[in-house]
Amino acid sequence: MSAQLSTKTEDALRSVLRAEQAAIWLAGLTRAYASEQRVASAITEAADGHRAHRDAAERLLRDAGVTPAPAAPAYQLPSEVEDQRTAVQLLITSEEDCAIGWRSVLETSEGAQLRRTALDGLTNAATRATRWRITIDKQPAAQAFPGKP
Amino acid sequence: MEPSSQSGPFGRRDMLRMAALVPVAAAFTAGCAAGSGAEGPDPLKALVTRARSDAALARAVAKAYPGLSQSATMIGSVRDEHASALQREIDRVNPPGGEKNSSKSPPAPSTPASSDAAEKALREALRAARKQAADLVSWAPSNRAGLAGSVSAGCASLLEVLR
Repeated sequence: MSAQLSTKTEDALRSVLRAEQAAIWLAGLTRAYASEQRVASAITEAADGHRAHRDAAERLLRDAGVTPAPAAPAYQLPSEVEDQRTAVQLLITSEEDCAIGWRSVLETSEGAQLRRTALDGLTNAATRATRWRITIDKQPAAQAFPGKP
Repeated sequence: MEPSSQSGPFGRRDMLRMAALVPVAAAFTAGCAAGSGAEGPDPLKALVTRARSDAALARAVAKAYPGLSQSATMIGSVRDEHASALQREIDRVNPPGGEKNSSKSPPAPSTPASSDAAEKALREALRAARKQAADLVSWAPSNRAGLAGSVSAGCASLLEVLR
């Protein structure tokens, strides 16, 4: 057991863990709607990234003696998926959730190592969201302040 | 995305609410921790300077090279937003006095000689800006770590736009 986490940091890590778990689940769902190979590959790649960040969040919680909550078996979608475009729209929402979660970890934590992990999570979520916006031609493709709620 | 059924005690809303609450609390501590006051220039000043000069470069490129106009315009407007938000944080910690604030605009950038050179210059500027903000994240007070983290991630996203 290494560093103790403040309550705020612990809450932020629990939140971002939920967002990363949801993102992994969503990748599985949306892959079936990918009509282009490049989109299918990008979804697979995104899922790998989210698994790495989920693992990082779990590890940080465990290291502080906190048992991470398991993923939910399924998630309620904020909008319907009908095709590749609507699937990508959901992927964007999910990346934005992850970005908000990691920025919140940044704002509640002190250690350089923990902040490095959070910045990685934030940056990866932001760049993937931008790539998804470009995929469906959604403007503006880049947000000025990713993760800002 | 909320877990369906009642399987999880928290949903997306909780997270959003919590994230929204954090900066307010963090702002209190930042006021003391970041009060660099007489001890030298605010470390965010260097980020403002770079953001302003990136915005000027992007505007010059957008004007000179129609093929890059869309992405360069976006880069310019995002880097302008970065400069303003960073300056607001500097002014919050050290309210500007009566004398003119150091909002001198950077020297006009020389427009790169070709479209390729312009794209390269923008890419290099964004890479440097991304790193500059990321470096601050490790040691800044927590509310500034959030802001600098978003600036860094924002620059990383703009690099995707240039692809």
